Amino acid sequence: MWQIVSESVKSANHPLNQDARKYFISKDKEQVIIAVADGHGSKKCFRSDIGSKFAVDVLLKIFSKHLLRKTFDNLQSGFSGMSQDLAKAIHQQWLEKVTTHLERNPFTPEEELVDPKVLKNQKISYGTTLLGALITPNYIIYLQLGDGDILVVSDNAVMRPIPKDENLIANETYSLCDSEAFAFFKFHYQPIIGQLPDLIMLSTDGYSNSFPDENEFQKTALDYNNLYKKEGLDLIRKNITEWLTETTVNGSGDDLTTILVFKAIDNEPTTKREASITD
Amino acid sequence: MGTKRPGGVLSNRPLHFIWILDVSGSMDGDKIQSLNYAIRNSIPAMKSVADENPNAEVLVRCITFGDEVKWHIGTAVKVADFEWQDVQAGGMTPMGKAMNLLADQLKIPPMTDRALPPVLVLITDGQPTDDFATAYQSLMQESWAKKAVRLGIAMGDDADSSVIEKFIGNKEIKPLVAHNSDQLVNFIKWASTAVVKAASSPASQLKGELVTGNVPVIMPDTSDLSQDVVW
Repeated sequence: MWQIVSESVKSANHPLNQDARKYFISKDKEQVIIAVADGHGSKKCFRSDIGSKFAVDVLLKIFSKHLLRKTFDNLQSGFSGMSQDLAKAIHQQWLEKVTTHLERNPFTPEEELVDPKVLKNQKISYGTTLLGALITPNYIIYLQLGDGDILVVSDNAVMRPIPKDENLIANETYSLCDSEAFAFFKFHYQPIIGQLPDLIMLSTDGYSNSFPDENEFQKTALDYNNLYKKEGLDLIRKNITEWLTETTVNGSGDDLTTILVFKAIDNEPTTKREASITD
Repeated sequence: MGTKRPGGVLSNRPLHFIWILDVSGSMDGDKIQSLNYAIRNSIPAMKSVADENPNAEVLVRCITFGDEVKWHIGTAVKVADFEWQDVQAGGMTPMGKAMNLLADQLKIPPMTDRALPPVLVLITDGQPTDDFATAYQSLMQESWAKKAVRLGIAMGDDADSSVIEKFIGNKEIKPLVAHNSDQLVNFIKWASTAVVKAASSPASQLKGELVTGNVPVIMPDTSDLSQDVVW
């Protein structure tokens, strides 16, 4: 069974928080879908707060469908072929949402003047990354397009199921608004053999960019895991807004969003037994 | 008092600002004096910009090329502690070797992957006397060189504008040509304030779309400057 905490804080430098997050947890608390998206926020991507919301909505919808159909429960032919279809479906559905939104909300005269390239290819204005995971008792699927971080804690050690992309420096990122975006998705399919992870942590790059190096950043996941085990979920829920605010103010200065999925410990009450979707 | 925040030590993001200065013999006299004055004069405004952008840590260094190619300021200095030591002119224009020296410091490591796009400012009054093209090609193999904001200032019309344009590598950013001290002061102040400010908080950009870093650079307004042609 899983327990979830999620929070997002806005950068003092941005007029809007362009990050988005969403999660689903099943009634029995054994199946979880999490998604985090980071709208680019550049001058050209002036609707990226909307694009990031579309991204998390699409991922929740698609993973929910596969969960219901048990698509990934007994993979005979491996995951890699399916991952390409998954990436294409996510990209396609995001584009459809953007197209519909543009039809209903055409560019304003001010938006039309922002950049000729964006006027020609208006989906650029919705540009966003996407991170996610589908967690079940039998397997976990991790997914990533663009920057951001997925950390997993098991036996008090931290690992990255999807390695950092060394090509993404200087705030460059892959984006759903790229016409070839589906080609840049990265996946990791992890069958559960033995123990489930203790913690799965998704975060936008504003979190990792607040630390001088990978080690200092990875301590966040270890500390959250230890806090959960020693103090329980309430303490994390009570303090996380303050912690994230302190982090962005003294670190990257970027919007900062995280979702923490803890493997429930025996003495931790798992609250109400209802399925829920939370933005 | 609340529970200690999860995670290690926090840190703002390093923004490396590197002057690459021609100190060849042709710079002797008024040019080198003007250059020393202009950089020293720009420091207070640069510090103010850095103070206004606490999420970036501006770190300054300087390469000179003339009699020898060396780090005039080799250890990255926090802008708050930055003091200018005058450079002296003499020798040839080994700009290619300066590119090699720069390339070594733009590798990962010593750079980290979380830095902000560096700002590289080339100032010259002449043309390379060594193999600039090969050295530049080698420099541009480094990811951080490609992502850097590269600016070029010519001191007088004898500077090789094609070399400066190649260094900048962005049609939207033109080489600035200073013909007198007033213009040089203005251009150096622009590079160390307006560009540093833009580089301090860049938004995410689509991979592959960038020409030179992801910093929107607005060229300085030169209409109010003295138009005297001294150099």
